[in-house]
This record gives sequence, structure tokens and C-alpha cells, in this order.
Amino acid sequence: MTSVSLRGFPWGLLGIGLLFALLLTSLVVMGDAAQNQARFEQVFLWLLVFHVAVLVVLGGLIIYQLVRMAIQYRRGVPGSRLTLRLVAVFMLVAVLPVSVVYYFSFKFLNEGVDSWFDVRVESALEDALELSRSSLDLRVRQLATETQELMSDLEGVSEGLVPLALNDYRRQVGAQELTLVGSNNRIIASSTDSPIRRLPTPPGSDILMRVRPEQPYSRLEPQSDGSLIIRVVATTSSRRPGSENRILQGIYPVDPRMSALSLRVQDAFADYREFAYLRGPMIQGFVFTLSLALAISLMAALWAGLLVARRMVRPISDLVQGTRMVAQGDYSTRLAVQRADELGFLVQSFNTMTRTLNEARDEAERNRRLLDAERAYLESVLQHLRSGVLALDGSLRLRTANAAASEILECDLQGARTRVMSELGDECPLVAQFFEAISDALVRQEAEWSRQVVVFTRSGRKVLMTRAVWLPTSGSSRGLHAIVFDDMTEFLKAQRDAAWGEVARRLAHEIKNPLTPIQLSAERLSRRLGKVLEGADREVLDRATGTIVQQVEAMKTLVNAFRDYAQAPQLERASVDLNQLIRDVCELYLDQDGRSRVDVTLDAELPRIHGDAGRLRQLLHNLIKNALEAGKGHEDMEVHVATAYLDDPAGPHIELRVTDTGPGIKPEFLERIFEPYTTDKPRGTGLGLAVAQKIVEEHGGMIECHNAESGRHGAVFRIRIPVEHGPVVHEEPE
Amino acid sequence: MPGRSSWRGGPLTALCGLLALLALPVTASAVEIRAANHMWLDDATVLVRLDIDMRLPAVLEDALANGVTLEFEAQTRLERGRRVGRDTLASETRRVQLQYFALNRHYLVTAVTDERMDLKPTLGDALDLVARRLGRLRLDEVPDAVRENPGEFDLAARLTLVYSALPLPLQLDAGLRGDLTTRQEWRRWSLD
Repeated sequence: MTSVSLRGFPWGLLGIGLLFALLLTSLVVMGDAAQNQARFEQVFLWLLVFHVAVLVVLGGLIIYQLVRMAIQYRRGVPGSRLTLRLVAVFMLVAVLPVSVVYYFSFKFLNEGVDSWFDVRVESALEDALELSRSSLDLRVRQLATETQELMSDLEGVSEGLVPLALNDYRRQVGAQELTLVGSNNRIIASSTDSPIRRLPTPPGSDILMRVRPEQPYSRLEPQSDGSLIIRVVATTSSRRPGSENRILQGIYPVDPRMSALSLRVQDAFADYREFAYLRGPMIQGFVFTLSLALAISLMAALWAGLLVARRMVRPISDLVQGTRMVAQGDYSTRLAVQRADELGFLVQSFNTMTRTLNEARDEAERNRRLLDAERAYLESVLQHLRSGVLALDGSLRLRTANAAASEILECDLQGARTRVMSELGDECPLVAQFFEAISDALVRQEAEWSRQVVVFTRSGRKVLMTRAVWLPTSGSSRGLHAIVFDDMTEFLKAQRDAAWGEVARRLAHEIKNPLTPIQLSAERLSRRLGKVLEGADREVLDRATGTIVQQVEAMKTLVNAFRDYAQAPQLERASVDLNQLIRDVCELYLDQDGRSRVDVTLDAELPRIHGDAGRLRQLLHNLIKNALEAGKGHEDMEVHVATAYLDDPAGPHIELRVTDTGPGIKPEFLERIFEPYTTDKPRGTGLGLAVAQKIVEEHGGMIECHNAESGRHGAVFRIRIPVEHGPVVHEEPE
Repeated sequence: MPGRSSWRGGPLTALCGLLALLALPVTASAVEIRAANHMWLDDATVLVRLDIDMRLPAVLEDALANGVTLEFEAQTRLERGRRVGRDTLASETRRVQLQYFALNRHYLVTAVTDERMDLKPTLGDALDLVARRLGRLRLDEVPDAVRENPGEFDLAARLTLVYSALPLPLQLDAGLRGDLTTRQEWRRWSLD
């Protein structure tokens, strides 16, 4: 079933059309009525009322529309300003021409109609009328005289001859009718020129009242056939006392030409007077009709202008409203296309735009979701990576950190995004250390770099294998440092242990095993040949075999040292008083005078640590021995051992310092001082410090070495060993 | 020459006149029937006699003096009252024209129906004549029922200045000013 929608039908325009048609019809009817006297009285008032009603209705509609428009203008309704402007233009366009037409029409009516009347014409008509009057009056007076004479003559005529006399007289004077009337308007005799016998009309009472003896009454009278007659009524004094008074009435025709001309002059004069008299009402009527028509036209134009303006502005208002909706993010806004003109095209374009925007937004939303999914996936991957991952922008502000990074650096980095790393270091010591170690490369924005970073933590040192790349600014993406680091502490330790174990095994196998036969062979040679040789030869032999045996012993010592280094003995941890251990070890380093060669400064509040006393003793031996050997040949050589308990951001730990006043460490050795076989001593094995580092690391500690500050000699070894469970109550030394 | 007036008002005046038209009361006419009576001339004829006051308003006198022909109409009807509306059983209309005859400075009274013409030297005489001419109307062929039951019937009469006989501008002027309104409402009286 087909349904027809009437919503789009322009009812407003239809209403305007109907109203205009009605107005036009009424104006035509009014104009027709003005030409038709019979209808004028019937329809004029109704038309007038209708037009006034239309005016009132139009005025009401216009006021309503204007008030509505003013309210919308105040409220800032979209399109209200444009509507106001359009209406103003419509008003101007309507009022100006109407005013001009009205002004000139009014002027024309007033001045134009006045110009129709000429004083000379009026004067001429009056003169003509006066001339006709004079001419007719002359004739009237003449006939009055003649009639009076006839009346006098009739006085002498006997009663019986009166009709004949009247007939003769009538012929003589050319009268149309002569009637002799007696008392009480009794007709005594009458003579007429009409072939039709008819009863003569006696003079009226008003005439009889005006008749005096010897003073005839006469006047000009029009006839229904358009002609003029002259009526003369005359009487005389009574002839005899007692006789009735008689009156003679004569009716005389006026010359037809004279009559026609006179009547024509009178009609012209009457018409002109009437025309002049009606000039005011005529102009008034014209002005009234003109005013009515123009007022209706003007108000209808205003109303139509209001409706048209609103109709024109409606698509624009819709567009403004739609634009606001779009600005608020509602891309589903669609406007109804009701016109086929440019505005309709604009609305259609708006719909196309919103549809495109909607699709683009959907596409962007899909992409965003994909991006979020990718990001979540990447985040998930990052979070599950064992390697720490950091992303810093060009200003070293943290952008991304995964869980492993937080775990390795012992700091909640994921909750610290957008913070600058240097600020973050105040809260997280490891981050501070880590950032300090890599900041130079970051500041230089090196394209790609890697380095091993060692940091000290509550739980000991950490070796972080760090790799980073600098992703410079590209397009909309800003520069980024991508930093990946792994905690290689355990791995390096295991790797080194394995390597050195292999070295020790090979040394034992390749070197130590042949040493015993060598030593035995050298001793056999010494025993066998010592008996045979004498003198110098014997001395040479003894010296050679002694050297061989001595060197073999040295090599055995070396190999054992390697073995000790390479082997990873199980720590036998126990509560250790490091101060006491130091004091015990220092007892072994007394000089010939019984004075200790090592100066000791111990922190009385030093807590006990959980460590292997034997290994720690070896650590102390290696460091003190290393210091004393380094100071050989220096008379003012001093070795100082100090302990301290520190509870700084790196965590509670014991710091052990071994300082000497020797020549210090050569710079070329400083970097690899803790590597095996690194020594600048003629008889050093190069394993003492390597073993010391190993022992420190076994205890989760960290060892550093540097030369004394400027102005002083010697080297400083700084060992930090964490106190895992806080300070242990110090036991007073016995 | 009688006074001449021309429209000198502005548009505002015209509009005011338009609006004032709605507010103008109907002016009481001086041309009116003061009294009326009737008499049976025979079984089927009634003579209606109207006592007419023919005092013209100044504007009509002015118009008459300026050449405008005035036409008066007297109407009478024999009616039977009903619950709704009335039945007209007989009616008579008489029209008389009054005009100024400039050739002899008289007033000419013309009966429109029989074209009888009379001249009167003064307006008063002419108006009296008009009143006489209009004041006698004869209703012919009156049904018998009227005579038998006169209480059921009414006689109605009215006197008007015939608008349509006026010149058009004067009609409009009369409509606008209201002082030419001489239409009189029907006057009725019982035949009893």
C-alpha cells in the first residue's frame, strides 16, 4: 500500500497563494462593484470589512512573526540573524516602491484631479446658463404680457363665445393650451393644440397663491419628454361685483432648439457642479481604495517576506545546527534535502561530508582499536620479556617501561611515565646509578651503543648488559631512546666460573701433572749427579736442580691458586663479626717490633654479616697483602683498614676500605685490576685481587678500586657487602 | 456656488478614516417615518399613509444644491408574522427624485414610477411634495384572510435614500462618513 507523505508539501506557500488569490478576487469584486451601483451598496461594506479583517489578520501574523523572530534573535537561534536581515531587506524592498507609488499616486490624485477643473470653464458654463435663463426669461415675460392681455380681452367676451375666443387666441399666440378657470379651479373653457382630447390640468394651489390681478405668474417647466414649456397664469380684477374671479392659464411651448440647447447647458452646468462637488469624495474614495490596496499589498508582502525568509533560512539554520552537532562529535546528523537549488545542493554536500566524516571516524576508530590491540600485544610482549626495556624521549623523560625493567631496577617505572629520569633517581637509587652510568651516551644521543653497567643494590651488585638505540625525530614521531638491558650478574658469574674452572682443569692437566716428574727428575739428578760431581760442577748442578725444584713449586703454587680461584666452593655461611675477623687477620701482620703494620679503624656499630668467615679472611689477606706488596720500598708506607655501617638509598650495607699510601695503581691496570693475571709486581701471580673480587661477589657485594685523590698517594679498595636483614646486634669483642 | 471640498488629508488620515469607519455609530436620519396608519379602500386594497419628516441633512442639501439628484424610496409591505421569518403578502414601492432645476432656480420633484414632474420654488415646498408623494402607498390584491383576521398581519414601511442613485464618489464618501446614512429600519404596526 502506497502512503503519500504530505509533510514536505509547502502548505505555507499554498496559504499565501490562496490569500493573494482571495485578495485579488475581492479587489476585482470591489472594482466591479464600484462600476455597478446596484451591487455597490450590497458588497461594499462586506468587502471593506473583509479587507480590514485581512489587514488585522496580516498585522497580527506579522507581529507574531516579528516577536517570534526577536525572541529567536535574543536566544541566538541559528539563522535568526540572517532571517532578520532578509526580512529587513524584504521590508525595504516592499516599502520603498510602495511608498513611492503611493506618494506619486496620492499627489496625482490630488493635483491631477484638481487640474480637471478650470475656473474659466465653470465661468463659461455659468454664463451660458445665465444666457439661457435670460433668453427664456425674456420669452416668459413676453408670454406673460400677452397672456395678461388675452385675459383682459376675455373680459369683454360673452360667456358663450369664450371657447371660440380661446381657440382664436391660442392660434394667435401659438399657445399649446389655454384654459380659463373659474372659482374652485372649475374649468370654464379650454383650447389645446393636441389632437387627443384630454382634460386640461388646472394650475396648482401654489401657483394660484402667487397670482395677483394684473400680475401674471409665469415659469418655465420641464416636461417628461425632455422639452420645456412656459406656464403663465393671469387674472384680472372682477368685472362685476359678485361675479366669480376667473384665471387664464396659458401653456406655451418653447422652441425645440431653444429648449434643447437650454436643457443641454443646464445639464452640462449641473454635471460640472456635481463633478466639482464630488471632487473631494472622489479623491477620498480613490485614496481610500489606494491606501487599502497598498496597505494590504504591503502587509501581504511583509508576511510573505517573513515566510519566504524563514523558508530560505531554514536550510541554513539546519546546516548551522548540523554543524554544531558535528562539532560536538555527532557525525550521524543528516539533514532533509527539501530543495533542488543551491541550498539543497549545500545540504546534500553537508550530508555527504558528515557521512564521509562518519566513515572516516569509524575507520579511525577501527585503526585505533587495532593500534590499541597492537599496543596491548606489544605491551604484553614487553611485560613478559625478561629483559628490561625503557623508552626515553629526547629530554630523557620516561615514556615506556616494562615490568622487567621495574624489577631489575627495583623501581615502579610503569607508574612513573612522563617523569624525567634524573628526578626519578631521587626515589630509586638503582635508577640513579643506572642513569648515571648511561647518561653520557644518552645525552650524546649516540645512534647505537652497548655497555655493561654495574650497579650496587640491597641484594648486591648487578651487572646489566645494556644496549640502546637512538631513534631520531621522524615526521610526527619524536626522537626516542630505546634501551634494553639484561641482568647478566648470574650469567657472567656462571660463565666466568665455568671458564676459570676449565682453565684450572687444563692447568692441572697440562701443567701440574708434568711438574711432579720434573721435580722428581730434578731431585734424582741432584742425588745421582751430586755424588759424582765435585766442586763447581756440583754447585752448578745443585743450583740448577734447586732452581728447577723451586720453580716447579712455584708453578704448583700458581696452579693451586688457579684452582682455588676457579673452583666454586660452597660458602659456609654463618654470622660473622667482620671487625673481629679484621682484628684477627691484622694480628698476622706485626712487624719485628710487634707493632701492627696495618692501621685499623673499625665501626663499633658494625652489624654482623651472614658470610663465610674463611673466604672473608682470605679476602682480607689478599687485600692487605696486595697493599703491603705494593708499598715495598716505601718507608712511609701505611695500610689502613676501616669498616663502616651505612644505610643509604642503596640499602643497608657494610663498607670495608683498604687504603695504602703506596705508589698507587698504574692507570693502564686500573680498568682490569680485578682480572686474573693482571699485576704490575715482579713476583705477583695476578690472582689475588681476582680472588678477592670473586669472594666479594660470592657475598653479593661489590668491590671498587681507585687511586687516592689528588695530592695523596696510594690506592683505595672499597668493598660493599649488603646486610640483608638489617643490622645485626654487635657482639662485644672478648 | 455651494462649498467645494477636496480631499487634502494624507495617507494617515485615510487610514484613520478607514479605522474610524468601524467605530462610527449609525447616525440617526432626519428623513424618516414619524408615524403611519392605514385605511381600507375596499376589500382588497389598503391605503398606507406615512407621516414623513423630510428634513435633509446639511450634506444632502449641499449635494442637492450642487447638482446631485436625490432619490428617495418608500416601501410598504403586508406581512404575516411567523415563528421564523415573515411572509410578505403584498408590497408597494414608490420612488421620488428631487433635483435642483438651475434654469429657473426651482426644485424639481419627479415621481420615478409615473414620471410626474413638479417644480417647487423652495426646498421646503419640494420636500413637502416629496413627503406627500412618498406618503401614500396602495397595497392591492390583499388576501381576504387579512381582512378577516387583521390581528395576524402587520404592515411594515420604511423610507430610505437610495444609495445606488447617488454618484459613486458620494456613495463611498457616504460609506466613509456615515452622515449620509438615511436607511431606516422597517417600522411595523398591526392591522388591528
